[in-house]
Amino acid sequence: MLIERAQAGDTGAFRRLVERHQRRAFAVALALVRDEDDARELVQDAFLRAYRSLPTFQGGSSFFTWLYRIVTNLGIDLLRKPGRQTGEVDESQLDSDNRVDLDVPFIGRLDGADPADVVRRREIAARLQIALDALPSYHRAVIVMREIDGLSYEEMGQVMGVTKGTIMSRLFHARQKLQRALYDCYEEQVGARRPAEPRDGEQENGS
Amino acid sequence: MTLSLETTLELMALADGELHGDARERAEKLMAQSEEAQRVVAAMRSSGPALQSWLADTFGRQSQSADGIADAVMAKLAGGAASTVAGGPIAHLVPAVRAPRARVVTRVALAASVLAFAALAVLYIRSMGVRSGQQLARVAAAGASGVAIGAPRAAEEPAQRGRGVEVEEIDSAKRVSIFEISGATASAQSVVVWIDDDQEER
Repeated sequence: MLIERAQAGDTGAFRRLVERHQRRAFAVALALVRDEDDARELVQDAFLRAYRSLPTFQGGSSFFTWLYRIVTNLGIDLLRKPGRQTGEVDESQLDSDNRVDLDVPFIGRLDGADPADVVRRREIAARLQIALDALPSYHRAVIVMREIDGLSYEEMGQVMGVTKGTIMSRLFHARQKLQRALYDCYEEQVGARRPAEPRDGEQENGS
Repeated sequence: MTLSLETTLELMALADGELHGDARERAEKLMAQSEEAQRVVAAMRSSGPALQSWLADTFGRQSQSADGIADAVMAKLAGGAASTVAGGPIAHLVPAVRAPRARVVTRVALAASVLAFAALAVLYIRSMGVRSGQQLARVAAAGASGVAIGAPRAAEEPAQRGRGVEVEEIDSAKRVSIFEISGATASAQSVVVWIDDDQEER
């Protein structure tokens, strides 16, 4: 097992651990701090701390849950620094008409796809990016951990140091905001109705 | 929508496969009774894959920026950066191949120490014997101040001629004596350098 070998002093094994988790850790870091350079630095720091603490890692949680916790703590520390530009975007941007004109390069790799589909995915991607930018950092983080990394509620609670109930609340509201922002996309893709909303007067808790 | 936030969260957990025990039973009972609850869960289940696909597109592209992180981390480790990370001392991972070599070095050092101690013990015992048995001839001596010593006196004595030692110079704050210890045969002779630590007490 890579972790045991790394704990025994095999630096090659530690490198493979880094390679295995760097993208996922980066996605979480980016969700928190928004800036790619900051996220890259943060993840490097997280791996160095993980390296230092490897002898004390008991394996009670999975390695990436443990690593995510380090990443999340570092991200929160960074966001709390005085003068830090959080980059939070006003939610009104979700209604902006110019969102489809944003350049989102990742769509360019859809070579060979139906041109109409490419355009549509580009539009969705641009709107998704704006919607993500409008979310608070902790909402983006739970979205990434759940929808991309597939962490359980329990694991997300461990990573973020909050209760399972808080995680559920954050996840629900984050999804709801994304669904609102991409409502017509959902409707087109899955024939979805408007996202479910709880009774009036209920507030998001734990966030 | 008539469902409370708490109920909606439970339905979301049910849709995500995260609801267990009594809460799960409660949600499933509600699902059996409420069309609204059924619609909510169905909508959550159907929209999940679409969102995951879009997010994978977005973060899949962005996360390519992470590909150099392993190189950077290992370079920092090689440069000792791990020891400068804030938060206390760092337990360095030593490459596994080094561990046996370190044990060998330790054993060699231990053996050398034992041999050196044994040699000192032999010299001490011999010197004690010299003092009591007059088995040696003093070949040179230096006082508290640094002195240059030429040919040893022992070398000048007829009985010891040809067996003396040459002492170029001794510069010491202590009294230093040099002895030639006679052995049973000519080849079994030894030279002892004696530094007197008790000088001030005398």
